[in-house]
Amino acid sequence: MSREDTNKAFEEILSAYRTGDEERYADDFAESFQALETDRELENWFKDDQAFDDEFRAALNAFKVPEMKPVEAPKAEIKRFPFLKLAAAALFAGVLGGIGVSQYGAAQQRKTTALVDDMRQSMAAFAASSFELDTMNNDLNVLRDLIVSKGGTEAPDLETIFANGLPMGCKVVDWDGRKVSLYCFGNAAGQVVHAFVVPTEELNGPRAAAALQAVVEFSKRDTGGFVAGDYAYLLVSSMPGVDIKPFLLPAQETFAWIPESGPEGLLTAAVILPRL
Amino acid sequence: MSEFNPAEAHYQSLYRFALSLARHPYDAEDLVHQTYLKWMKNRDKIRDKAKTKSWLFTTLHREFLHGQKSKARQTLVEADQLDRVAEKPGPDAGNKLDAEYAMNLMQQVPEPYRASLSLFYVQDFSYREIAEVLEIAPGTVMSRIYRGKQILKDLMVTWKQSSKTQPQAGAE
Repeated sequence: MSREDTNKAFEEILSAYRTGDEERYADDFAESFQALETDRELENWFKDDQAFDDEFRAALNAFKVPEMKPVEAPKAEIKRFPFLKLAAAALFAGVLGGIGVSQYGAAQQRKTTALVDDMRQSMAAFAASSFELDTMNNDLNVLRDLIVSKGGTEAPDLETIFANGLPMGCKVVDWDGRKVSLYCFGNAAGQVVHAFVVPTEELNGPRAAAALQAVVEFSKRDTGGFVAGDYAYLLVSSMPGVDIKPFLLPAQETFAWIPESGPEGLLTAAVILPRL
Repeated sequence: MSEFNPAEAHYQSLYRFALSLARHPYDAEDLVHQTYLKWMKNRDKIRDKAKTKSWLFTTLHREFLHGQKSKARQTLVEADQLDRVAEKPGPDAGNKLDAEYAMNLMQQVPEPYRASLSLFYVQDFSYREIAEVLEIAPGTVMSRIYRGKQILKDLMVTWKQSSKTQPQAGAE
């Protein structure tokens, strides 16, 4: 096999490589990465290919998507147990009616929290990928200055939340065209969590953002958060198996947040009751 | 506590994948809608909830392949889309690739390369995950990504060259 053919075979393998340690050390790519170290031509090709991937991926994922249209359950499913459905609907309406919450309000609430779910998933996937921090520094003020210079937020309540945490680094992350400020903190046990901060208005307001309080696993990482002031904080464990609750609970107790009165407010109040 | 809806969480990526395949917003919406209907009907059968994402993308791709039978309609759509691409102005002075044009370029990549390439970029799937979603061999995914990228790069070169010869809006 000629050198040209060999390099073409390596190029074919490397073109399917995604940036990240997970694949960097995978057997499938090992031989190709080894070849990169000795072949300047292949190395240059790979750099160009990665740059192309970065540019194209960023552009494609910035494509604006129309708002999701509601999808109704198939009618056959509804007809299966009409009496049960009616009874359940009556009970549901009665219960909610008693506290002034309509079914419409609940549906709206679910709709407005879709962004929260998207943020959880996106940031967990980001945390699971191999990424480089914009800087590594133990001085929170240095991190803030850098984040602000890149258009992120200084996240004013970080000291309160991570009173016993050690700042480690930061990065401004793009999330569908929004700027998310990432601050990394470690604790005495050697655990690291990522705090992703966005203005609550990016998550359809503080009421919708309050849904962050639930701890949900994505990409094998715990995600959960809280709202403080005008900002929403999403904590994501840096590695599988790292428990975010020691970080999360003090924050949620500190920033217990009572929404305004009104149908949606009542529903949201149930969402943010302190966890036992 | 609000219920987490995985289908909604994947909506944006699913739509972008659908649009890259179907090449028309109406068809993309139909694909996403059909996928969600199937998910609502079958979600209780998906035992491993971590598989929901790949289930959604696999189902959408199957729906797309199923819809390929209506060739006559697709031919019309393709002609319309290619016209739109040709009419679309080139990059701005900074030569930066914008989102709409990236989608148009992706739509010009022929199948079977387009599906693999779209999943590689839109959802950042690994090639092994793509193989699972498209139900093909991992080696085939690598070949398709490689060939698809070559086509995409050729398209971009043509686009950048044509944009240099195209007068800027408002210019004499």
